[in-house]
Amino acid sequence: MEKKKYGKQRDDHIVVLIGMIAAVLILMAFLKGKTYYSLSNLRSMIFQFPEFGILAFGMMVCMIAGGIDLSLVGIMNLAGVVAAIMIKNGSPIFLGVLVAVLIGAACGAFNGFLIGFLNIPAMLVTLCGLEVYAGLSLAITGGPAVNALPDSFKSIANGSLGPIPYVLFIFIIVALLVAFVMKYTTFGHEIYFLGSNKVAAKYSGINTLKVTVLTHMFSGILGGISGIVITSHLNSAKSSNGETYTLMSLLIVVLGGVNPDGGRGRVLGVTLAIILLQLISNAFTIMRAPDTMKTFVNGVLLIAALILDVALEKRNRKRM
Amino acid sequence: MANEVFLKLEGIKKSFGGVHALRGVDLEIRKGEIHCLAGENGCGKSTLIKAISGVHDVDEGKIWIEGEQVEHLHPIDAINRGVQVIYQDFAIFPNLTVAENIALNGEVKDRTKLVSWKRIHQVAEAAMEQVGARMDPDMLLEQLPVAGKQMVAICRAIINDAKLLILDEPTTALTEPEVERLFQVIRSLKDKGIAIMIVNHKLDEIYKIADRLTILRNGSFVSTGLISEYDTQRFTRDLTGHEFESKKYVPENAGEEIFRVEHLTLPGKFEDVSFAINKGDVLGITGLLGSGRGELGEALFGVTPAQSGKIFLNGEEIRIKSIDDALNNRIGYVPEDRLTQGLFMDRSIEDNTVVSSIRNYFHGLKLNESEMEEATNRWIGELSIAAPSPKPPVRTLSGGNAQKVVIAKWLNTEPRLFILNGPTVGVDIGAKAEIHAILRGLAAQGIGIIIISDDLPELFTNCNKIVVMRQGKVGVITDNSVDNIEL
Repeated sequence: MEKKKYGKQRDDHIVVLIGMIAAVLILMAFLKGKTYYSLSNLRSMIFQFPEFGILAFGMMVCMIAGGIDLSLVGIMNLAGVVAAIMIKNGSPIFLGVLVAVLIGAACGAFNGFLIGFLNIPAMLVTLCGLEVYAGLSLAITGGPAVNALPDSFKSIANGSLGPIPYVLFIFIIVALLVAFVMKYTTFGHEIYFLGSNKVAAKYSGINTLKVTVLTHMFSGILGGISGIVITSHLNSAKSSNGETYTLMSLLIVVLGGVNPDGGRGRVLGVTLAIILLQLISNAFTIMRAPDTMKTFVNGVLLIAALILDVALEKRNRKRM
Repeated sequence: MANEVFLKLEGIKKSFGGVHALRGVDLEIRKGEIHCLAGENGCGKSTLIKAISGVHDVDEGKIWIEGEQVEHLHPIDAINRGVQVIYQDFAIFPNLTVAENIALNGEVKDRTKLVSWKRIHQVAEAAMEQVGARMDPDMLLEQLPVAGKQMVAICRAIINDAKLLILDEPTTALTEPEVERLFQVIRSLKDKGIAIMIVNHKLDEIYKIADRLTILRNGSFVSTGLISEYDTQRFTRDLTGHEFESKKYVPENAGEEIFRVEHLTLPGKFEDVSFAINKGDVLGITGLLGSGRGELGEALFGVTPAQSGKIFLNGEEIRIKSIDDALNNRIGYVPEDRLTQGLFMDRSIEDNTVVSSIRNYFHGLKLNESEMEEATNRWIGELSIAAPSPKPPVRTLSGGNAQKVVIAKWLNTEPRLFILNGPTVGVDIGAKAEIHAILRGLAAQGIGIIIISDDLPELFTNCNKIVVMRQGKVGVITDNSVDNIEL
């Protein structure tokens, strides 16, 4: 019985998320049921969310480790630009993908090293990182976007298997991989320990520098994968693609029940939050609401998510 | 004057959800007396303090302050009536100066719009004089030792016209000379007619300072009376509900050498430290704060490694330059501060138990969850940790049980040397005896045990060798046939 009780507490966020998803679905059924529930709209949503969904997982692992990764969009664009130039100049696609992933890992390692070795707060390091990586892509491209990529590359994020877009498979594989790492590997557990109590982690023999570097490398790799997806999706790479995704991924992880102080959070919650945000964003498009409204609503949602987090936490403590 | 009652409680009851924290407590504190409130962890002491200071509204019972019955006491009412509480964390501002910490409260309360630095200094100086504390008023609080922070908190209470000063376990983080100083200050406040309530469960200290004593157990009132009415036996019986006998530890038969350090040195911290542990030995290391006892422990675990000297474990020379080295040589370390260094409070007992040995559960491609749960269940049983399952967060455990989880974490790594820094701080008497029994058992199995502590009676009972550190050097090494040591 006790066991059940502690299991249930952690699911509060999930319940709230499912409720909110249901609310959006029901509301839209009344407002614009036909368009919203069409196959083409469903497909357009699926084409959209993997690129920022994968970024959100990067944000998630860093935040669980007690930090944050604000440089993800910078890493995404740097990886995208380099891969696009390579592929445009004739190198095989897999090589471009590999380089994008390696660039992500390198940027992440750089972030992680500054955070773990020099003890500079993750917020500052990754914010500077965002500037550095965005600036680097700008310097490489010299301004204009890298366009007109080969069709085979375009099909990564625009092609489908029957009615199902390839990117959905990519997203599912990434989500399962992240879930597996967090739940079933030593590294994943060390991330949770580090985020719960850094000092105790050190005194328990966890190499906190190593875990910090690896966590940011993990995040960076996800940024690199996302760079491939968005570049293929837009058929264009530049330093300023997806600029709203930083705030968006932050919003997703907090909404998904990741504790902003670290130590707590699950892939399931974050996945539901990704779906919820895509549903809302799509609803705005269908309702033809102006983009300016969208930003405002996202901001309000983020604050609501923070309040929800505090409220749930308070209730849990009381129950004990 | 001396017998006038300042505070009187009758039948105080308070519950949280279904938990009865207080089940009817009576208490009477007179002006100019030092009253000690004793009880094991979780007996309701903290709840009672919060009831007196108005933080918690009581469910049932009556409270009189200076003969006047008060209902629904709010914190501000309590303060206005002269009740001041000094909590264990002192509620101070580490980045402000001594003077600011003492006097700013008053400035805020008087609603002055402009801060007069001159007045702040005057007020602070006056308060320090009254209390008998000498500190540089411009020093930042974070630079002060614990005892200094405590003095600042006391000064602040005094200038806020305290008539009843409540100190929550004021001596836990102090060394003996600092405790003496604190007691002098408390006695001088008593002479000024201030009522003082000290929460404490160290009997030797209670004898030194208290006039009267009230004992709580499980949220209920057990007994109250003059300190002279209590001997050790009655005190322990009233506190725990059963009798304890303490027998000094003597190893069954001394075996071969397990651990030895030679000329260990870390400049500025300790120097030329040498000692050895044989099979069956429990070695104690003591000394004043700043004597290097804590630093020595941290060096043996690789947190801040020694710069020179030799370390031998089971006859082989080993190098400890990092925590990784310590783990690879199977050295375990229970750090001084359980809450911040030892435990992940929001994580489960299971997570806390396997954290240092988690690699052992990674088979094939994934962690074996059932094996981790099984190991945790085994330790819950072996160390009799009061927990329904391995899943609840450690935050829900009492101090003693939480400390057992830290011990389980290291036992699960099968240590060859086990260092414990202050293993029973904030642990109730019952759990303390259990922890001591566990350590003796480990020593008998051939695990080298080092207990670092300033609790001398604890060392005399449990260690057959005691190293006394003085200013970074080994003062003496003695056995436990003595009853007191000059620190």
